[in-house]
Amino acid sequence: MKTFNKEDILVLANELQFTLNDNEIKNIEKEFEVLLVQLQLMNEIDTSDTKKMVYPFDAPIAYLRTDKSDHVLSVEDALKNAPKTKDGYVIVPKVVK
Amino acid sequence: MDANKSIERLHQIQQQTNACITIFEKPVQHKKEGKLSNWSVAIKDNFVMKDVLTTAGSTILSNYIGVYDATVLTKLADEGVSYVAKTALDELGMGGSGLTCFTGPTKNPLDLKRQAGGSSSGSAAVMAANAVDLALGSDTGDSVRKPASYCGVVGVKPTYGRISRYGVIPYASSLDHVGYFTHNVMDSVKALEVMAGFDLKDPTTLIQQLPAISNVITGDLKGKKIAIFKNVIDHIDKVETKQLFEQVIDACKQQGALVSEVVMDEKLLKTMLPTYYILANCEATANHANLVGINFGLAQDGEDIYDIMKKSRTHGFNEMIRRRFVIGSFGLKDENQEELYVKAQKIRRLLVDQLSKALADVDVLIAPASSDVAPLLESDDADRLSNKHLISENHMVLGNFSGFPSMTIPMGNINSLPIGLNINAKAMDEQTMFDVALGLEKVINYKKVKGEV
Repeated sequence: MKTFNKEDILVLANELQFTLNDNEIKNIEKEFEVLLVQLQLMNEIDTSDTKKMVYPFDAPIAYLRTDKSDHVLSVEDALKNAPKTKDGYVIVPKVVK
Repeated sequence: MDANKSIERLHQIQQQTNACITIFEKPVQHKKEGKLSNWSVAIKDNFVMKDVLTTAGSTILSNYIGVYDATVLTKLADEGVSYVAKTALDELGMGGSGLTCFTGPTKNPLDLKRQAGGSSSGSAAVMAANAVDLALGSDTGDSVRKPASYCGVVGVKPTYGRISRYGVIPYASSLDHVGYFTHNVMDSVKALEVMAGFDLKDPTTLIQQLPAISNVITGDLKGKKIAIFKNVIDHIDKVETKQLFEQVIDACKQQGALVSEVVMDEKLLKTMLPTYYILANCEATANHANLVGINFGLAQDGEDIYDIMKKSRTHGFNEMIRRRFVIGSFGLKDENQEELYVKAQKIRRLLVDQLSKALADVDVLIAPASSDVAPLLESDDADRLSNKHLISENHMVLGNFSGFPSMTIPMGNINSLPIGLNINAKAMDEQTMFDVALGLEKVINYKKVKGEV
């Protein structure tokens, strides 16, 4: 059975690029306890001969669109929501100082 | 309805319900003539609209201005609708209460002490307040059909891929559907006839065309094969809900419908919710990896890009979202993937097989959409391991696993609050679903509740 401790949570949060306070970590641990019981229900189901279902319909889309550009976002639009821009680029803090 | 009156009404209810994120200064109408001219439409705020704030209910997108139109918005605009507002939702569509939007909780106009349901909370609320003719929503677990139940309106989730999702901010791509609310079944048919269709910009849209339905269906229940989802009924403890449902069944029989019962594998049904939880959170954590505050979104200052991302994401997502991302990310870890994510994908197939079998010899499968009326705002979390919670409260997720069409219509009122009836049909067979819904709507003859605002 899976386990999940504070360290695991902190590693995941770091990978996910956010932080969690102690209270938030406790809440995740609580949530996980419920999930573990629910997962037990899933483990009781025999899926040894079952293929996974990724999307609702196994209907492959078989078309090729014409080879020309379509719904292109202009540079102006692409940068419209960026916090800082200059000369068509998004500005971030210097990497090499 | 008149779009200016619609805007006036939205302003009237906004302070008490908090249903909208943006109410337009004036109606946005691109074309005067069309199949839906004179329709006033509200849009869940996870549909991207050009030059309009599009937040998905999240702080991290609270300053995001759309730079293009979602396909479905263009389709409706081409048929003459007037857009009047963007509505509140649970953050990123991830919730069922309508309480987690960055602008605060949505309150149910029929009883301001209660939830409107979620995640399409604002869209359901503006419908309940009779402020618009059509409200767009999205449905990943039951995010249109459950609020429809709580707000006494029609809520539709068509077949997966029937309506393009281009321009809809995703939650879990294998489960996400565009859905919508209307005041009656015929309106929901007319709306789908406009919104449906293949879209090159969304490769998951269906190539199969929606047939013309509005001039074909009659609502005649005679000979219609209606199956009752027995497991759902068995775990409902609210007597009034069962009574309303029984009245519907009796009326169906009187109209000549052939009513039967379906019992699905109970052990399997108990896995619906954890399966959903795993799939949805795993997909969501991947889908929202792009919300970092660098190229768009609400950025926080930082020393380097990692610092900016970390601060922006910590500030930009509420605790519940970060919790779900952690659990989703846990399920996607190499060492856990087989046991969690892949296991859930396999159980999904078994559940869909059950639903397919249940529908094989009947036209529709029906059950109450919720076991009770809208919960109070401060309602405690339900017992999340009870059969009522695992089965009766969350059965509509089968429609998302399968992609089969599923809708809610009002079933009646309990102490002056509405509760809905859920109707499910076979894949691509919206026509039968609507035909039976039209018949049920006639026999139920629902009396709308007069709201508090």
